[in-house]
Amino acid sequence: MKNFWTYLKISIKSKLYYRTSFILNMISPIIVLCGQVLLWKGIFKLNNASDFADMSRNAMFSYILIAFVLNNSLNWSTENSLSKDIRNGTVVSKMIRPTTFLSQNIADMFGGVLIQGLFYTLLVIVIFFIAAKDLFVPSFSNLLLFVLSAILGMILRLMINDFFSLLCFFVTGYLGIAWLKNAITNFFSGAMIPITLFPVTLKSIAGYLPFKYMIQVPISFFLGEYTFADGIKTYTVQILWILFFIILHCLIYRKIRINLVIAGG
Amino acid sequence: MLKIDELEKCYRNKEKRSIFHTTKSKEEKKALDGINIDLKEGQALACIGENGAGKSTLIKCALGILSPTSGSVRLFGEDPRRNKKYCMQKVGVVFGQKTNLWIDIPVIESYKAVKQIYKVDNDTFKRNYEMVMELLELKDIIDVPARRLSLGQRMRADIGLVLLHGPELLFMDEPTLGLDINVKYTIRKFLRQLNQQEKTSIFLTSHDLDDIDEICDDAIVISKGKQIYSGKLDELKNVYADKHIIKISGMKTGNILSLFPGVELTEKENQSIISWDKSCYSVQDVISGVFRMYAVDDIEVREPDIDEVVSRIFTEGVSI
Amino acid sequence: MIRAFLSIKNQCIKSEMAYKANFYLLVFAGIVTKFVGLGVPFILFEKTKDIAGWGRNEIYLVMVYIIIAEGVNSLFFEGVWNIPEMVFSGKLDVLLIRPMNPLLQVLSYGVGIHGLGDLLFGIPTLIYLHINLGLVNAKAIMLSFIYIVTGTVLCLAVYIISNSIVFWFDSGGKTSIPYMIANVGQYAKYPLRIYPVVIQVLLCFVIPYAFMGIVPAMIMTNRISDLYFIVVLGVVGLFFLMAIYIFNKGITKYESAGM
Repeated sequence: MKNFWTYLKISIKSKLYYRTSFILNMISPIIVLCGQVLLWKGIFKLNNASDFADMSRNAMFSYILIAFVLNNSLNWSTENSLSKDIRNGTVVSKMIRPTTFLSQNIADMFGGVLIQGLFYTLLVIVIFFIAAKDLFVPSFSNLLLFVLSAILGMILRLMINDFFSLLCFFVTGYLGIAWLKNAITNFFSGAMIPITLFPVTLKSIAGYLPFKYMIQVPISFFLGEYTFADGIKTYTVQILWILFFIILHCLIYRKIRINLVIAGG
Repeated sequence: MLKIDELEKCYRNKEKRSIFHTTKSKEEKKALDGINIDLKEGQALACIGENGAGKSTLIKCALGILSPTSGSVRLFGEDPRRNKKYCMQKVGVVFGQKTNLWIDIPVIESYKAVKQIYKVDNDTFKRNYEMVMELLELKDIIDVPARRLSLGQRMRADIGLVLLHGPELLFMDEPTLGLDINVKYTIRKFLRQLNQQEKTSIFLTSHDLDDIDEICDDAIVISKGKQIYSGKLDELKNVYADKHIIKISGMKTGNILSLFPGVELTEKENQSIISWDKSCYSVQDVISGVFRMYAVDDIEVREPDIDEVVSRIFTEGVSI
Repeated sequence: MIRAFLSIKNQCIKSEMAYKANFYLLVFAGIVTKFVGLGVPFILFEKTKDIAGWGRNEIYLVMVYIIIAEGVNSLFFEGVWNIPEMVFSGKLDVLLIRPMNPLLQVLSYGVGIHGLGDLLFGIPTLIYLHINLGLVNAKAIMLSFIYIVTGTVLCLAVYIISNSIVFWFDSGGKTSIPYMIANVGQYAKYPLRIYPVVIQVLLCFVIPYAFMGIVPAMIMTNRISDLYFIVVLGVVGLFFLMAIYIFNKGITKYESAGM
């Protein structure tokens, strides 16, 4: 476990080294957030509604903000650093070290999550204090349930990311996989639009996939739509999915080590 | 061909801060301070200097891809910044660390692209292409994407690329960096031939002083941006190579220092190396002394090679 | 010059196609990404009749213009995204030494196969929308075609400008400004009326994504007069010239500072 902290520290330090680009990379999603807020404000205003298909205005804005934090704790470069390493061949150094491949990857991604996640969480908390009357503020117990669900969801997100990155061993480029992953994950996790708004067929498809546990489900706790009883059920499913991906990782990894082909020269 | 007068280039260092500590530094660094070069047709000029001396900066200024702070650069009589197309048509540049090849496409396709970009006519291209294929032994790698080549292969392909449009002046910035001895040999032989037969001028930067020895007749030495020597390579060696060196294999039977005080003696197991100032003793004297003081198995008289010459210049500074 | 551009581009495409699996993966990824992009308005329109007076197919029209513009850019001008890396690594030197315009060289090198996916998805969708919105006359078809061209040129101009920022901001090799700017474009897919005036101005004149999708759509759906067509041409032309100017200025800066 000590090794985990070492890798984590290195990951954080290397991300913080370039101050300007670090700040710019942080601002980028905020701009996207602003766009989203404006879009929904516009939709609500022009349709003169106080709710949109059973989601109240306040709930919707809270949804957007929380989804923002959860979705942007991992940014593009962190997500794809493993994929790029695999494409370059530099991943070999990771495989030779005496720590498990999985924990190194998780530590690396986690570094990004800590920095960005922390920053955005603080930002959103501030927004909640400022704009409290326009937002849905959860009760304390809901908040706790939410936090637990979010943490599990984050671990699941890291595992899914790891899984997609491993696929890069089998394909020659990483961009295709990265885009595919983004498109599917963003849509079915509820990052783009709440799953509760999906039409029936899509909603049931989304129900079978693990992605909703990354964003939609934690936020459901936040908005008080789920209770503790639901919690027991969803936490279990989340943990099961996480275990599923861990096992998947080990299986794939073993196959990779047997057939290793890395670009030469 | 290339005329540089009193070239100066200053850089201003920007403030660099990291998120945890602030270090402000706005210095002016003089990368080049008063460089003068007159490179004629068919000349092979070596540029010798320690790391950071300003060699790469000099090449970039000569090419017009870096603007000098003061002084003038004339390439084929024109300012390379003003008359880019004309000048670039006639030069070829090989950067040791950056490749000229397009990295994901086969070498032959990079060659074809060059033919179109430099508007080389079919006959010239065919001639140069065959010359380069044969002399740089490119047959096996011509269809491979540059990404997959080893360093030595890539360097050969790079040099080939640069010659396809028949440049009159070739700039080479550390071309043999990281290459093994066979490849270096091929490249040196090729460049020597190019210079002597095609009369292509060469401006070569290298840390490998054997490269310089093999290819160039003239040299300039640059240290910390200042030009501290300009002239023939042999003269440089003579001025600084003012020592004789004898290497002896054999058992020691007496102390050579008693006969020739002041010589430098390095001993290692069964070998000794003696070096001394030329002006102190003659070679014959020292050799006969050696035979008296050693049971000689093998003896070798050497001139200091250019490595030592150069390192002496850098440590002692110049006085010509 | 153009021949060299095309020959390099051709080679890049060939070398991408050599990796069959990856090629199809990228095309597929392109299609899926854009398809999902259209999913958001799809879901919105399930619950509401219109957004600011725009019907579902009309919003799709806006989006499809942008999809096609981005698709063509990815396919032919993907090299523009290499500019930051070339500046930081000094690879730009290699381009400056050749007697060919460095911008053309940069644009020629790189192919975004996902662009093919964008086009495979976008063009049939455009045709479908034309039929659905009743735009089946010659004038509409011709105009649509012109808007595709102007959209592509404008998109290219925006990409060139945003990637050229690296000439002035040395941020150690990892900068996401170009992507950030491209992201702003996402919000130009909805009717301008939704946004406060400041944003409208931003989307029209600062990062003119509005002229890629929504303004052409407004003209096509007769919300504003056909004469605005001239405004579109003007804005596109202006930004294109600006892009070339900024890039060249950047090269001059690069040559004086060296990197």
